[in-house]
Amino acid sequence: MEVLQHVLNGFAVAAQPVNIAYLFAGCVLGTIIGVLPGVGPAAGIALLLPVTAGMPATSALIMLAGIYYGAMYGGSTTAILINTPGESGSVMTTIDGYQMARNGRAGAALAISAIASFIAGTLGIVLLTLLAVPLSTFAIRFGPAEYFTLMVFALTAASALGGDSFAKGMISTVLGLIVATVGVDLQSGQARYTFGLPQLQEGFSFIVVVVGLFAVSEVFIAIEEHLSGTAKPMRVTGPIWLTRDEWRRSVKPIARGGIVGFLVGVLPGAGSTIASILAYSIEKKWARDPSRFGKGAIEGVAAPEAANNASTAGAMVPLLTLGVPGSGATAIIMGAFIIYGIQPGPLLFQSQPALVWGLIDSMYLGNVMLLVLNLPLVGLFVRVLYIPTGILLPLILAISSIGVYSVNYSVFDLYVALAFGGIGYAFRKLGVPTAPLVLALVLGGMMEQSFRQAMTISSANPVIFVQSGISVTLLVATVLSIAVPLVMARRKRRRGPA
Amino acid sequence: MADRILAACTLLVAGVYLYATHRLPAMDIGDPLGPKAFPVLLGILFAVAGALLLVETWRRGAPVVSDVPAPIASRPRDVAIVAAATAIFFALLEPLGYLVAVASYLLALTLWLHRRRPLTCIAVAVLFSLASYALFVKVLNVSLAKGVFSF
Repeated sequence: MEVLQHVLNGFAVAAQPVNIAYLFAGCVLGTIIGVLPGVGPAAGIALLLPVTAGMPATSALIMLAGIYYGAMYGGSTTAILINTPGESGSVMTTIDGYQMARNGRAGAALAISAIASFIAGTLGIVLLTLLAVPLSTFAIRFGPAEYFTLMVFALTAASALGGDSFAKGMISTVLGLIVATVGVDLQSGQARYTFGLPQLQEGFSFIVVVVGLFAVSEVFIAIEEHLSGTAKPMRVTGPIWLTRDEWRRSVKPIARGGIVGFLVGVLPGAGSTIASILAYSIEKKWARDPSRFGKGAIEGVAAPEAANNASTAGAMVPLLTLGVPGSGATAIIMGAFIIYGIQPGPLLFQSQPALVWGLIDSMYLGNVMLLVLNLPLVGLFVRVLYIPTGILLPLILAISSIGVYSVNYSVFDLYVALAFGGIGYAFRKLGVPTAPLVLALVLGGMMEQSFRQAMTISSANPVIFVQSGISVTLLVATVLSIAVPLVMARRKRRRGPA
Repeated sequence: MADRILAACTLLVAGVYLYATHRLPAMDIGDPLGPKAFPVLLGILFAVAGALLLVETWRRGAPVVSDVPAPIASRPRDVAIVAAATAIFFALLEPLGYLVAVASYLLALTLWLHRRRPLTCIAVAVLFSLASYALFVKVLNVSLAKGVFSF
């Protein structure tokens, strides 16, 4: 009953005209960012972080979250019409979505991805609403040792699940933690790794690093794609709707994709890309006739689109209830919380119920807006694909630069962003996941603090990390998060190339 | 090969980081570990990650078959050109001022990436720099580098 009351109060916050306006802006921007190939939700949120500086916290967070899940809607449009994922979560939609478009069923492919996104996205928010209170009540019992082991689990799982190599995931994670140690140590007041540069006294600015790592490096990759030649968008012919048979075949994949997507989203490090890959493989494996996949099977569009939207709601669960994000984009949203002086986590539900429930409820409204934007109005967003990339990419670089410069009016920050752009580019080329780095960067300070607090409590005895049931469970989960993918990869390899 | 270079770089950075940590003055007032313990742990973990990657490159078997479509080819030279142009833009931002620096940066990049329509490129460069300057300075009250102009 208490939850219902919170949900109703949340709707009162979310439905305030100013919040509706920012939500709408977030959904429109998210769809555009999703449609634009080469700019993902993490880059989009990073780009808009400097702009939100003067806004009320609730409105800003509602808008940033809207960009995050809105991008999942937009990404499918590009996947279907030009065979390129608009953001990485829609990579599986290219396979059958583009084939549907070539078969003259672009309208049906666009319709099913919007409908699947809406149903699974809403299902995900319902699950988030139901889980929020029990999980945050449970997490209130966490002390420094439990928090430290929770972050160890989150970062290890992010390293293990983020790509195909655990070592590369670990390099990304530990580098993020190392970057987080730069600057004045909060407990001793000692400057660390500043190399005498006054600009590094307060450490690397979060916004500067994420703009470099996501926006700048994504533009570099997009420039390569642009110079290699890009495909012309397919024309959308016929109505954007489904036949009865197409709808009948999509219902179960949407439900399965939604549940898989939500669960994968809750896991740290897995995110929307893995959610959609997993949902697609499940459908292909369970299909009566798997040979239809890859040739325009509507199930191959419905399942991954359901999964990537449900995963965004899933990813909000650990961020809001535990204060530990699980993906690159939610790590940046956590950065936004911190910039506003708000610490996400279990106490947030008691200290700022209006903000949390306003944010959660805005996601229900946002999904309705996105359904309207992406079904009847999809033709408008398709036009975004006609903006010449040769003009667009330099503009994104210019906007990133203005955003970074406006944080501290520092040219030094611009070079830092460029350097992280280079690191992000190299990481993408080498198959090193970038999300663990930003996750570690946002958690690094807290992780060191809780580590040192726990050690102070125990007079430097590490036994404190295995004294409570919660810590032990989390450490076991940490070991499993390394072992399970290793065993699965070995089994897959033993079976050999199919 | 690329993976081995990455592993070597990782080991090198881990070494430099551990050395820098070692050189930090010891101050352990208030908490038993001091500001060095956590970084030492990170330095060791980073070295372990580099070593793990070396092991992975040696032991890698048949590539895992996946459904995910392959990415496009690399053009590192072109990316280096864009990065260099961007660095020059940053260096000139304060001396030349926002308007001139942004307009020339955009003009250079768009003329290179969208060469068939030079007039469009000029229009975009001029209009974007003017409009964004007006938006930031006059509407959002963000002060951007003035440089050669005094308004």
